[in-house]
Amino acid sequence: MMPHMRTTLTLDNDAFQAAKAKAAHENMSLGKAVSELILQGLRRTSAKTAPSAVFHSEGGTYTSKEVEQALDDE
Amino acid sequence: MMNNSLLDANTLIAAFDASHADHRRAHRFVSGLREFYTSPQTQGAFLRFFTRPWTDTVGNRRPPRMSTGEALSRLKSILALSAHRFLPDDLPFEKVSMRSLSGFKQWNDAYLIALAGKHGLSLATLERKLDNMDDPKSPVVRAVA
Repeated sequence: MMPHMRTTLTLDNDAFQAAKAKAAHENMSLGKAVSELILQGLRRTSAKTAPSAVFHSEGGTYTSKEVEQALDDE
Repeated sequence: MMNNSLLDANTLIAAFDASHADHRRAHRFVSGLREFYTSPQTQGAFLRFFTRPWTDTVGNRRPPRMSTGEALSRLKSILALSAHRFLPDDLPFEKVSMRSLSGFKQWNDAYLIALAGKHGLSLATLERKLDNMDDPKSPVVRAVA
């Protein structure tokens, strides 16, 4: 169970309406809806600013030794 | 200090290909660097490794892991990362130390050690075999933990 923090926020009207709609639609408290929307926004921002460039090459797993051998064979 | 590293070819490959057995370790290491460097030599090794046919553990010939176009595109994505820096191969081989150079396979490693040292960088490697090629008075080789 995550700890909770009680606070008072002044929200933009459209942000409030979006959070209220999410809370009603997903049957959760307004606080929970606001929390989820904030975290969702953060995840999107960090994914955008930190592209990973990681890929998954075909042919299965290989080791450092196989890389060395392949490059030495040239 | 030394939070900037030139990656040797194997570390470059491992950091970005999830199919490499040491991918997680290498990726974590590179993600923790302020800047990571590649040179024409390591970039070329990356491209050659992925685009060459290879032999699997039971001796079967296998097609290249990637087309030339895909390999170049993967490399471009890496070079576009904000932490990436390009390091030219701007050192003649006459400046390369002969320390513990025991065979033809080590020319590349010895060159990368000298190149990283010249630019005040460490050379990141996944393997211990480079340790004895390093100068203990001013070590350059950095093992990827």
